[in-house]
Order: sequence, then structure tokens, then C-alpha cells
Amino acid sequence: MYNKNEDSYLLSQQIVETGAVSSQTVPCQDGKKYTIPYIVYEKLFPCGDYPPDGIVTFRNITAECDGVDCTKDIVWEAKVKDANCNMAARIDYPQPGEISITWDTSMPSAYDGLSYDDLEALNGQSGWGKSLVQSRRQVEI
Amino acid sequence: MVPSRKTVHSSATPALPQQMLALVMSALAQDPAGGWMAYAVGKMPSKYARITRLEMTWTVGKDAKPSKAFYSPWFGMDPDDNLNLVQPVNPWGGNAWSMYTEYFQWRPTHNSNSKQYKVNAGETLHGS
Repeated sequence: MYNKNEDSYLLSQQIVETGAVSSQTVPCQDGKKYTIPYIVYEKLFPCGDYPPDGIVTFRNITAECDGVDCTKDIVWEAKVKDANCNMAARIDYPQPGEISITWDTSMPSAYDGLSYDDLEALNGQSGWGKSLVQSRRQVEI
Repeated sequence: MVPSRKTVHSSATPALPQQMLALVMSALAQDPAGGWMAYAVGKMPSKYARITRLEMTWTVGKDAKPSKAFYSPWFGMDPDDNLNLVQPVNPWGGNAWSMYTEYFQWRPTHNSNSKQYKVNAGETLHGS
């Protein structure tokens, strides 16, 4: 949620069943305006390593632009950056207003031949992937 | 996030050019980053200046087989230059799911994460 006075966003995520909340405030760098929403499935591994349900659905999607409900004004487009395991974004699926990402755990993958060390190097360059790899190494020490 | 590096390093290639290449690649990097597989991108009408709120709900996936794999479904948003990603993430770390929020800035590189919580398959996450 945008805070106009501080030119920042409050990022928050809650486990609905437990009420646990994780949040942080992020200042906008150099007054930049956030304009591009994404829904993503990220990091490249063999298909059998992904969850067996083969789908995650983002629902109750709501957006405000300049403080006004703009949920239905946003036009979503499905794309693929790095193809793997037939990962696909599906707009208005399974219900109107919902967006799902689907995959096939039975497919071969271009990453089948890589070791997990190679896959860590491939996927752990920065962000949450890097943090996760670093925390693993601390545990190993 | 920083694109995945698929470069095959050759011992015959001088180290300096490789380092320079990495620097150039880093300077040019932006979202959508390597490692993103399927994604949906939204286009906001130009009559608006910015997104002031974005909320979604999803159900944590079934547990995958234990491995050293890590990946995440997430939603988030960027400014027009795709260099400042804010995102509630839901990583699978190889034997469990977790959730927290992340900010990743490409230039200069900066990353901040909120407190991480373990979350169970079938539980509901609400991000904003």
C-alpha cells in the first residue's frame, strides 16, 4: 500500500489461518512510480522437483491506481521468460478475475542434467534465491 | 533479480574479459529476469500515475519431494524501468514452504527482506 507522505510502500504478507504477518516499508527510489504488476513463478529446476499439484491460483486480485479501484482497468498478458516444464500463466483461469500458473511435473527439463550445485549457482545469484543459498551454507558450516 | 548465468566458462578465455562481461551484463540487467518462467504482466491505463495498492490471495502448494530445489510463486510490481521489484514471496526451500516480503533494487544493487515465516501446504497467503 502506497504512503503518499513518505513516498513509500508498505509490503505485507499474512498467513490467514494463523494471523502471522511479515511486513516492511520500502521507500520509492528517486520518486519512481510503480506501474507494472507481475505474477511470476521463478527459478529453474527439473520438473519433478516442483509441487505435484501443478497449479497455483492467485485470486481476490484487487488494485488501486491513484487511490481509485482500477482492478478491472488492468489488462493482463501471459508470457514466458525461461521455458521449463510447460510453465504457463493463464488469465481468468479457473474463474474470471483469477490468474493461475500451471506446470507439468512429468516433463523432461533442460535442467535435468545439472547437479544441484550447478542449479544453486544458476538460481542463487541474488535476491531471495541468494539469501536462501547463503542460509543453507551457514547451516552446513 | 539477477539473471541466471548460463555462460560456459572456458579456461582458454582470459579472466578479465569475463569479469568485464559480467559487469556489463549486470549493468544491463532488469526485470523480467532470467529464471522467471511463466508470468503474467499487467498494463495499467495511462490516465493513472501509479499503482497505490495491489492485493492477492493464494493457497500454498502441496509439498514437493524433498530435494535441494528452491523456487517461488509470487506477485509484485515494478516501476516503468523494471529496476525496483517489490514482492511478497512464497519460496519452497527444498523441504518446506516459507513466506516473507522482498525488495530487490537493481541499480545500485540493494535487497531487503522482511521476517521469514514457515507456512504449510494448503494454508492461505494474503499479500499486499
